[in-house]
Amino acid sequence: MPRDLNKTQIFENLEVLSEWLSVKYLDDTFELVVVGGAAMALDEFKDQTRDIDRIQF
Amino acid sequence: MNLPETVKDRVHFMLRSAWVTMGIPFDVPIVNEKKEGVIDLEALFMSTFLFMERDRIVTDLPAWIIRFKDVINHQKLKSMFKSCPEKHKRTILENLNHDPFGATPESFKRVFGLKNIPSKEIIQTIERRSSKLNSLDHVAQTSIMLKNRLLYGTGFRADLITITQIKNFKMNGKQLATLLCTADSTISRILNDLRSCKFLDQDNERIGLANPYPGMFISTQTILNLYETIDAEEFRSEELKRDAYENISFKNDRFCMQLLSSFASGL
Repeated sequence: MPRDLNKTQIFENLEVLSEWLSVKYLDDTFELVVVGGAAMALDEFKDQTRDIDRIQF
Repeated sequence: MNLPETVKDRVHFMLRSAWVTMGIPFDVPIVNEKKEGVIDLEALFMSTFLFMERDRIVTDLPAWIIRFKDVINHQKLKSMFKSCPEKHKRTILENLNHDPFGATPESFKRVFGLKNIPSKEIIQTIERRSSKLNSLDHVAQTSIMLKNRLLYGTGFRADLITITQIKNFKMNGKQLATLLCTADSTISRILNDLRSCKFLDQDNERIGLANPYPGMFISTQTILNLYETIDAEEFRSEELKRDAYENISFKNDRFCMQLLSSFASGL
């Protein structure tokens, strides 16, 4: 089940992801874009959305 | 590479033991394939290149490659190198950037895009080292994969026949293709041939197999496990480290089973 994450938890997850990328893809540069419910949480909206966003660049 | 020195030393020791099986006279015990499992030659090359340092192996290995070039499956080596993650590919290329590898045959140099030209002194050193190598007759007795290549020709048919000599190998075509780093269609065609001539039964089991080998000592899985181990030790996060170790599979890899049982906790 999806659950709400607070700001700290989202940053912790981003840190884990960035560490994984830096070890697996040494010397490559990535830009992490936070969108959807997580972005809302970082902007301190009270109710996060829980749907899954499909993002296409 | 963040691996502890003790682990690197152990890797070097074990790889040297495998090379003794292939006929290089290092001062370490031989890997007895009947007890410890079969060594895949190209997987041994890749594992060695990943951990190679500036020592005797840098001249002994080119000498071996020159002497035994006809039993090297260059296509398989190329596929293994192509599927290697970029960061480890860079390590391998840095390690191969020693002058003695410039003396290897063009077929080998092409796999890694090596362009270095060896000096006269290096060629003489390699020739001296070459005289210390064991004969092909002897190596054919210690390495089942090389023996089968002498019997059936250097190719995936010989390697697949080698795998069928493993006790309870029970793998489908897809798994065999992954293990041998080749196309599914190649394995499918060979399996059909081997079933047609009753070498294998309908379940791909060897008919009348005596004295099977216990498993694989070094295989494609070993290389994948070594990549994971190197990455795991670079993670600061315990969670990522644990996950990386959980990705390791010991099926077809007795090398890492021995290596990791001596240092990695919580496996």
